[in-house]
Amino acid sequence: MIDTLPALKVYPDRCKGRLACMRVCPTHAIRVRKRKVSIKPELCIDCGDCIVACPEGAIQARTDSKESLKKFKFKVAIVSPVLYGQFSRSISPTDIGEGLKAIGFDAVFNLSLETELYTQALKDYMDDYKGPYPVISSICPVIIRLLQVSYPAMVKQIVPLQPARELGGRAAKRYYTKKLGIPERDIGAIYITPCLAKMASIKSPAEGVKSHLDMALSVKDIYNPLLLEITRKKRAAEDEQIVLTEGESRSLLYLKFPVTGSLAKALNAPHHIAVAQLPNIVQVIEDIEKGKIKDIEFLECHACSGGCLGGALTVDDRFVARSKLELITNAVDEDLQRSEELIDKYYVKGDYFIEQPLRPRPINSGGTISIIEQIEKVKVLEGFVNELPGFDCGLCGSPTCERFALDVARREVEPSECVMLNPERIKTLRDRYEIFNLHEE
Amino acid sequence: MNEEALYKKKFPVTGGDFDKAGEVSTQIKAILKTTGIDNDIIRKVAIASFEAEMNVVIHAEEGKIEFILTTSSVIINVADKGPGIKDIDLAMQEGYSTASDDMREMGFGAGMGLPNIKKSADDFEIKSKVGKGTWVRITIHHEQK
Repeated sequence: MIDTLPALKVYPDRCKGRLACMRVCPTHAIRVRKRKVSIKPELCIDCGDCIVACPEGAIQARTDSKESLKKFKFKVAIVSPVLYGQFSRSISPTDIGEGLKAIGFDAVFNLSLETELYTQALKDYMDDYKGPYPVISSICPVIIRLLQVSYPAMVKQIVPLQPARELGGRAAKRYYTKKLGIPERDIGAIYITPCLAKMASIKSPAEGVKSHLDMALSVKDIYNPLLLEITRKKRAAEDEQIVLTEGESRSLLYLKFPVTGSLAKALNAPHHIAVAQLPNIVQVIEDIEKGKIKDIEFLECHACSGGCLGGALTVDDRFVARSKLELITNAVDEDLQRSEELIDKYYVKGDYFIEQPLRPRPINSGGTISIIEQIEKVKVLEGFVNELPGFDCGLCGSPTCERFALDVARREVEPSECVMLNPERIKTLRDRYEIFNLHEE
Repeated sequence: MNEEALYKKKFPVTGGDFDKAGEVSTQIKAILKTTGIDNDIIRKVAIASFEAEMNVVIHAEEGKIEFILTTSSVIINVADKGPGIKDIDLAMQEGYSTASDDMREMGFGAGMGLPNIKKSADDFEIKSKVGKGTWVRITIHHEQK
């Protein structure tokens, strides 16, 4: 097993070389050489598309295990609102909170207040912001990494605020340090995550500073033990009504946030667009970069289909989960949801910025070679690309002909790996994949 | 131009082909991204070349975009066969547009094309002959790394 990536564990011995992961990877980070998968860490943006694509389970999320909870004296679950949409309609957020306590957490924090604070901080930020536009949302860590890797000039447009989950971790630690009189290191803030990107953002935050969260358990991993405890408890008390979690602030905005478009809507920005799924996002960002899309103030992006409900580490179908979250929010009268009161009471202007500015993540390891040398390389590369078939078959183990040319230029692979340049290569592949002639015995 | 070109490439552009509109500037951007030139400079080139490309697509029958990289500058030459521009000073005004109603319905022709190019460029030349076509040269300096 190889675990040099913040979000993924790779098991080359399980890999059968089917290339499914290589074909879906949006940043072309995956290579399959000698029928074994490998991932280039500098290109990986933690989206998790490869996990879903692999039929053999050769790529897995690097989530923490429930056992590692033990290292903290006091364990607080910081719950992604996605979790509340995963169970049957008769199971309320309160039931889920109780269930979390039964499986080993000492306290449960939902992100109701932090979502309101984040939204208010973003409104203030937008009011003072002078451009360039659009401002790009920072909730989805995949988008941050995508911009850092592929669109460095736009990194400065990312919202420099800590997302609600980080604010939740910070608030939980502040609160329990004071209440229990124990040092902060004894308090574990454990995020219940719907995706591996948010988990990776804890282990290696984009800002290069420490995350306020200590570890992450995936929705998928805790689902069964949690359901067991909830069912056990519910049998004792037959209450089917939807009730809010105990001590919850009266705002349900957080239950809307896992759906793409909710943040832009909450901001009331007159010109905003909300985009989900990486190919769409890349298209929109390309168009923004060259000025085709303009006069947009705010861009909300989620790498997963439909938003966080489509995360790779969730259990329930995202459409069903969405309808269940809507059911919960609809059950509570709008008048009872007092966001303004909450803001008046808790909002501290300027307290929500990230601690260090986001920076691009340069991937060009060319070093300090001059533009003349660089352009010579480009010419050689273009010459070689023209010799290649251009249909991106992937049999060389690189995702596209262009990437193959780049890999050759970096001497990672021989030009003879291309089946069109070197017909002998087919024989090697047939042996490697144990393909036999049709009429052979 | 007395400076030696490190790299040259010509791209054809077809008037009215909105499916492919913007592809040339995407390709120019992709080449520049491999060179290590400052990202903000690349973005200026992308915006200027995109607007120039759109002008050909919106107004002309056909055109050519030539991309030249020298040790100190990016040069975009655009030449098209088309109606030409009657009054260049007027065309340079923000908001002035001669795009047809059809084009405007598609969201084009806001009259920002030429002013945007000028804003992004360090040096900008334009010549036009009514009934023949328009020629534009955009120069953007880059610092050598």
